[in-house]
Amino acid sequence: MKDILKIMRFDYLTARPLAISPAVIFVVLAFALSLFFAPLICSYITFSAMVFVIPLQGVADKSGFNKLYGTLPVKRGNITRARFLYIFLVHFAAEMLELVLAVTAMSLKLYRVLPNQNGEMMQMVRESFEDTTLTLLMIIGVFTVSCLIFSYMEMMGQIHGRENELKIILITLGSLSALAFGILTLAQREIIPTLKLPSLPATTAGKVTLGVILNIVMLGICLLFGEITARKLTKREL
Amino acid sequence: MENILEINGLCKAYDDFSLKDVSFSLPRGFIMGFVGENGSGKTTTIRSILNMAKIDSGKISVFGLDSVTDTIAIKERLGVVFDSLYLAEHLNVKQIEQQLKPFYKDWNSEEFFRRIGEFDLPDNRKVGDFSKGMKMKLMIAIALSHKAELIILDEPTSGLDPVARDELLDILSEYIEDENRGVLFSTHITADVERIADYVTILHNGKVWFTGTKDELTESYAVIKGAEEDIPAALKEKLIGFHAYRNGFDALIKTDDLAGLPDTLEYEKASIDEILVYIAKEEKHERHS
Repeated sequence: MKDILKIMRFDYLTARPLAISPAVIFVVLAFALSLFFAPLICSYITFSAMVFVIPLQGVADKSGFNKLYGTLPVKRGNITRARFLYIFLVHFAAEMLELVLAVTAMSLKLYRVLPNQNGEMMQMVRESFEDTTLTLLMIIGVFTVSCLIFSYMEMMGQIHGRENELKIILITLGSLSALAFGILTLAQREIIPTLKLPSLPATTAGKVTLGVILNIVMLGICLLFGEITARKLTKREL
Repeated sequence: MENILEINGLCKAYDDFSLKDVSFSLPRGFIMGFVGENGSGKTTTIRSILNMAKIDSGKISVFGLDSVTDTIAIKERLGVVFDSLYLAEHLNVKQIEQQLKPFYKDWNSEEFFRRIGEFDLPDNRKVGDFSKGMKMKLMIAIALSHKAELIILDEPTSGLDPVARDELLDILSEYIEDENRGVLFSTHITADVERIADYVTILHNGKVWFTGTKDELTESYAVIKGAEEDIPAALKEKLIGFHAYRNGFDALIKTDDLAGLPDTLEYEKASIDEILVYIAKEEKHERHS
């Protein structure tokens, strides 16, 4: 575990100089807009998480990190596992910040200081501050989707090479879309029973549990992707 | 004398190249020049020592530890300098230090910054903007800051100007003053080997052609010159890298085979550079009219 923490710190310090400015811009923007206009806008902070992940591979390729990894006293598999945990943690940190910000925004209701309180626009703003649970679940949803996409891209990129990453992701998305379209078409023609989307839990406790479960599942997926990638890569030479 | 590095029967095959039964050892307190033409297998051997390449057979011991099973313990005590920088180019020296410090138990930040000052490296400039000589010094500073007992350098002097090369060799000479340390450096610049190496291993086509002390090497071989018709028949087979011209020939020969040489043939001590050139010509038996 110590190895993994060291590599995560290494990744963070690699990304920090490149990510800090755009991340601050996203956070400031998210704070300003979510406090006054719509708490859901705080999910912009997810972009801050993204900018802490996106530069890593480019830097690694440009700076010949494969050689560095070959010299560091760390197990190779842990270098790979650490990257996936890092992706999860930066997204998780962003999600936590978003939740705190959203709750704060909904408590303060700062839109009340804005002019033209009776306008049509202000009515929409007011409504956006009302639906607390949906806002919080949306934040968790954005976290889940972004984290899933980034960890999947990382796995594909590391296993199949960055040059094939986009191709494989497009094939995957295409296949999933075709599958979804097929299922929907078959359900529409009543060849298969219509799928019912599960409804959200009615109670707040249920919704909180759902949010926690989504986070745990996402952590599990990141660890699983990391393990699959580490096992594939340890067979290869640096 | 305890060996800091020992390689026995190392074999590693790729589709188009293979290392065949590579064996050599480096005692503590010495510098070994690891030479050979491009593609002779120097980098593959170094990658095998670092467990970056998976060896097919053989055994590599560093500090008496196995290079595969004890790779983490070995790397704690090993410094590596490659021909190009392997650090994040957008970071400065301070940020690099922050990044690497946690990986080594014996990391000494004071020593690192002392070396950075001694090597005249700016600590606030991106390391990607450093000259090649500065990058080499930075990698050496890192190796010295975690008290590496063995430094492995892969072509460190190629592409360096003479002043930077000289500085780098001085640093290595100073480093080896501690007799518990060792240096293995691969190069095809034989002047560097002549200057600082105690031991030499020559790799040719994936095989060890010579391994031993530098003096043994230079005393074991001579360059022979003269008219081709003066070569005794028994000697012809012993010539290495025979090179015939219209007015004569030259070749490399073992000094042991010089006995009974006709007076018409001249010979002189071979330099490492000449030895490498003749080895490269060995299979060609060049003849120029």
